[in-house]
Amino acid sequence: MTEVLVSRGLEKCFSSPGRASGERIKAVIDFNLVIEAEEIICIVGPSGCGKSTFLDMVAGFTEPTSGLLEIMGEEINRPSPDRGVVFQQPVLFPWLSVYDNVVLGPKSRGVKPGDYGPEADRVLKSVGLEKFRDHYPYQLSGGMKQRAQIARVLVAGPKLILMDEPFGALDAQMRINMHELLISVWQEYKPTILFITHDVEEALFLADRVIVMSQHPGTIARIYDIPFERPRTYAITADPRFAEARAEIVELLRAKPEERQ
Amino acid sequence: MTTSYRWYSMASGAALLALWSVLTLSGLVDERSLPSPVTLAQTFADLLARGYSGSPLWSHVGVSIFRALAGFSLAILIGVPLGLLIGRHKVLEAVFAPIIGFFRPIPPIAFITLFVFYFGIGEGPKIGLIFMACLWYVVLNSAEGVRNIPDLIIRAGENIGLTRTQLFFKVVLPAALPAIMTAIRAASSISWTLVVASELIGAQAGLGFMILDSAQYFNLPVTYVGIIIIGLIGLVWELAISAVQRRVLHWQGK
Ligand SMILES: Nc1ncnc2c1ncn2[C@@H]1O[C@H](COP(=O)(O)OP(=O)(O)OP(=O)(O)O)[C@@H](O)[C@H]1O
Ligand SMILES: [Mg+2]
Repeated sequence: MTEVLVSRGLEKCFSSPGRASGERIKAVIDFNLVIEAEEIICIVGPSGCGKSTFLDMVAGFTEPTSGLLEIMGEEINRPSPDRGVVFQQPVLFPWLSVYDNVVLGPKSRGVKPGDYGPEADRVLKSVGLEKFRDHYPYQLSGGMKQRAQIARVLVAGPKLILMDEPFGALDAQMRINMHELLISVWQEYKPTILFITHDVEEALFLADRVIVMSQHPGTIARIYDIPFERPRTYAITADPRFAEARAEIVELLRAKPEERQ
Repeated sequence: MTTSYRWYSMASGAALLALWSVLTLSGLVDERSLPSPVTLAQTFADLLARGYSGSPLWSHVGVSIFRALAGFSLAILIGVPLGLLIGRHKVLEAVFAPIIGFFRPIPPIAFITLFVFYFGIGEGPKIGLIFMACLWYVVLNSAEGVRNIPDLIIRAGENIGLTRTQLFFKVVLPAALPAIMTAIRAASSISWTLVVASELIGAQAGLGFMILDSAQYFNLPVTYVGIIIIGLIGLVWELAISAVQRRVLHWQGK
């Protein structure tokens, strides 16, 4: 198995304006994780524990304070379509149609229309938006916007897909649809995915491994292997092992309440 | 506006016209202080046929439009790029903030004499005045438009691999376009307003010259016709710009 992402001794500090000068908040410390190709990794943890801080470093939006962070053996130092991000809010370019949103990246990188055209058609079909390619973002529902974001990420053939609570704003039914869509996209493209969520069930349904983070310090508390076979269906939520894992993670998340603020 | 409301607008317009006709044609108001619509129609026909002060009517109209458009276009051409850069670069913002802060609150009319002193009484000072009045507005609005772009949209642009230049033209510029269009709209109305003021600077032609000159000779019908033409052109220009705005920015606010 290839190691897609390697994080060793990763640390991120923020200087806090409220406190004495020089004092810094350690948002993430001692973060050690190796993500293998084709894995889906979900990170759960209390609000403010540093999940987004970690994802932003992997995306190259912010720099680590110290430690090692590599994608396919290369140090991460800037944003790249290699590490496509699906944002929680539907961040599409409102002045471009769905199709133009998807192809803006490859087009700007100098990919030939003969190459990105068919690829864009393929990813739009995979996310079920082929009939909406000429629609503008304001004409789409919340779920469709998230699918468009996924298509925009897929078209670049990313090494790693980063998703920060991508379905957090959707209603329960739409969220289930999106889980099934993500599973089918995974079946088709076998991408490696790093997925952040508050929702333990969502994590258990999607992930090969669930990373539970603790707060103060913001680091990995435990890693759970999730053994369910792929392709998965919602039937697994009725499996006793599912309920057991959920109970255990929920328990871990609410442990040490005196350390949470 | 929906069709049903349009009727109210047409009715209020017609009522105003009717009131004006009754007051003037019945003799309740002296024809010398407020000309009747009939007189104005005759004056207009007369102006069309014989022109004013030796030039045909269309050339007065054309000269004014040219001056407004020249000052306005220059302000857009220089102001939009300058504003976008100021909005994006903190250093430029720091450099220009005191300059703009000082000049912006000064009414442009205050500069008329200086403009005449430096540039004479040709087209220069008139266009310069309009240019200056529009410029601050366009610069500030474009800069503000850039500053208000959500961080996430910039991140999305970086994430799909855009270079700095591509980010500027393919994300920053379109994202700031609504603010730029607002600035363009305001600048267009400022420029048209200032045409009259700029034509105070020793003009021999133009709608501003025509209404000032005729008023000095108590030729009020010509003054009124001039004012009505100025109003109608302003209205058409405004409608045209809104139509462009709606087309180009169909995605705005949705
Ligand atoms: N730019 C910043 N400057 C200062 N502090 C920051 C900054 N970004 C994050 N933090 C702090 O770092 C900690 C981790 O924040 P982060 O956004 O990573 O949490 P999270 O796990 O994603 O939370 P949530 O589940 O609410 O999204 C928080 O205490 C937060 O206040
Ligand atoms: Mg977060």
